[in-house]
Amino acid sequence: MNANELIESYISDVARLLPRTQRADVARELRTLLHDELSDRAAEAGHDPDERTAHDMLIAFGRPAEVAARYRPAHPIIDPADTRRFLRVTVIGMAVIWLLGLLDVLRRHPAGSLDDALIVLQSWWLGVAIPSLWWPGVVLLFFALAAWTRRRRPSRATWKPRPADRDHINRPARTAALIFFVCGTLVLLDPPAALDLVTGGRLPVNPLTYDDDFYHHRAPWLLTAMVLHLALFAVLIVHGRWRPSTRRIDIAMNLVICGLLTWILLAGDIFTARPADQITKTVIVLIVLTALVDVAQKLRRERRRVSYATPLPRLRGGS
Amino acid sequence: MGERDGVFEKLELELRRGVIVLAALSQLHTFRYGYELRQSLLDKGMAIEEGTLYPLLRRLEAQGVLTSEWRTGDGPPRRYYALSDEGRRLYERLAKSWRGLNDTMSILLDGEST
Repeated sequence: MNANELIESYISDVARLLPRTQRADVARELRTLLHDELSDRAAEAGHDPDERTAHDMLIAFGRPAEVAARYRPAHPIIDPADTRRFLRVTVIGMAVIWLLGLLDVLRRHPAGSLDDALIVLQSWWLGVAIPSLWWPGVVLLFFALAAWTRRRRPSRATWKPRPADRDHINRPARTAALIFFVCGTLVLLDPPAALDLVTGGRLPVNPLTYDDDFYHHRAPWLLTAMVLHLALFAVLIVHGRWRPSTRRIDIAMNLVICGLLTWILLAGDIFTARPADQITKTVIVLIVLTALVDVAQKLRRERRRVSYATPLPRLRGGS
Repeated sequence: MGERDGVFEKLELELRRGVIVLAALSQLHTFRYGYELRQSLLDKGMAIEEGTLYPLLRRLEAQGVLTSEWRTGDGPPRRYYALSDEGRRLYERLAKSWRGLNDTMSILLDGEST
């Protein structure tokens, strides 16, 4: 390839990355400029333009993709300021999906030997790891939309102060929520009775009958945790605001409930009827996922409270 | 030492990046083509990489700061750039801003050395 062919190849690589309307014009200008540069370099070196000089010049000019990018204003899909948050949300989300997926695969194929482990690995890879790529896609779409909105309406991106008192709770709303949760817990105590109440007992077979093993061995633990959480809710309403102790108990109880729900998912059936069992388990997975995200956020907020509340050393006892 | 050199180069690049536009505009009161402009800047001590300067001229033209035309003389056809009317006004404002900044920096740097 001689110097001229090298330059043409380079121009072609730059031009094809430019908007169609710009290509011919930029290519024409770039051709003249590169030949001028090459003649100058060769004259300085005291020889005719050759392939090596052309190659060195083009390397110094930059990668075609970088050069093409310089010809148009930069519009990153994700704002550079959002990159860290994007990576964190993506990695945490993937880790949660992979972990729960692995637990689900282990539940369906207990790994007792090396062969079993390979089957589990294959099942996890094809059934969980690869399909989980929807998550980065959704996160990317969210951040891209946020960046686009910010560019279109910069006023919306202006920083707004958060309420000074973030520990205050809305008592009427919390009370309504408590009543709702108490009713929900009562329904869970005897789902067949609740269903009979709604349908008037017209169903020949009640699909919401608990599995015996679940009812006698796992349900009591879950019920205890739920009642304790409702009690915490009531205490919160009485106080009218979050306190450090209630915040920490809430995080701990959420973690306990997540653990219990995961145990219930893996330990066996919940309902005797297969469809009700599968739907309930899917809902439990979603509840665990949401609760884990919530716990992670609360933990982060707690850590921030501690670090932001620490006075700067030079201000301590200062005048 | 190598790492410190790397930091210096990075920071110096950022400093230079801030003045490239003004340097280019300062030489475009009359029509010049890209290579000629680069040589003119180089002769005055401002080296700008070709891969940076030529796309910059296009971007400034797209923003209405520069105007351009193709000219065919003895050699191959070349695209010549010059400040547009809007570009002249912008240049005056930028130059004033730069001088103010330069004065401030002189005070700061002189103050630091005393």
